[in-house]
Amino acid sequence: MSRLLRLYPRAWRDRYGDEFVELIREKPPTSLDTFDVMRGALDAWLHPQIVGQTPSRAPGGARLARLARAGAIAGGGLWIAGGLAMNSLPIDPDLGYKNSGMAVLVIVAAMVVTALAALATAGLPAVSRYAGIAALAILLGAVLTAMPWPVLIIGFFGYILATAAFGAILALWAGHAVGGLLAIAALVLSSMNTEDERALLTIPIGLAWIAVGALAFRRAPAATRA
Amino acid sequence: MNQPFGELGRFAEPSLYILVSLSGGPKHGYAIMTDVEEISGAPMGPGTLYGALARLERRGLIEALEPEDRRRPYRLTGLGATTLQAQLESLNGFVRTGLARLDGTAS
Repeated sequence: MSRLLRLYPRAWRDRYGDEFVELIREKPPTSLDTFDVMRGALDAWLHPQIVGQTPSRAPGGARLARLARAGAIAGGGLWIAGGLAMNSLPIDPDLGYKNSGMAVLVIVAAMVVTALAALATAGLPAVSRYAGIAALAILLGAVLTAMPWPVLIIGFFGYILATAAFGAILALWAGHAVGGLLAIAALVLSSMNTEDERALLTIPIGLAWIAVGALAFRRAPAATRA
Repeated sequence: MNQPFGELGRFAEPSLYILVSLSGGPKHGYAIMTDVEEISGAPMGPGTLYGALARLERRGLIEALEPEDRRRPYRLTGLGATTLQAQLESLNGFVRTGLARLDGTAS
């Protein structure tokens, strides 16, 4: 947990670090507490409360929105590129299946980039706090997908479920209808198969992320349930 | 919730719990967590606790006392007590209105 403390800005650690570590020592954290600390660290960067902590190092709302938009569009593009590359690969006659290492790397990169875009989105003040939890789950799913079998499959389906939840939150809480498209595309992705044309099921989620990036933050979110 | 709680965003509710906890006397982080869990029936995570403490301190509603070992107690300021009083009276009015309307519906 003290490693997680490093996620906080230096000024915050200087002010609260000792007592925070003492609190953790007295009450060992649960896994939910770990998420809570990660959200707290993100908040400390986004909304500095310490006198002397310069907010310029923390991305403001407009910058976060630009990051979210750029990440969602770039990640969506990577999803499409990864699926197309996967689909075009021949079956290796010696292996009996596709040697799809590079295409998989592109897809994992797409997952990580879109997860970071979701995290940036969740940092915006007008988006539900549940979006932050879903964004962390998306990132966890992306990281686990880079692990060996069978962890990767857990990560992949974790990414799908978390992305569907994130899309639903965007649609229902923040008033971005395009979030519903993302949720549906994520569920469609669950039928993806790297060995046949179902590799192209990465295209809907790629397009959905691009749509989220292009449309979701052209206007201020309608609802605030922070 | 009314100002200044409205501007606390997702920390408004935890902040109210913390102020109520400190209205019983100064407490350090762990004691606040334990007390808030008793008051609300739900645990408060360490990230949420310190996010709210930082906001309350910055707004002058609480102040830090000298550390005891590595624990640092906090206490309510005069402004914090006044703000809490106003907030609880507002909530009390809200509760009374709601209960009165429920009674009217039931009869």
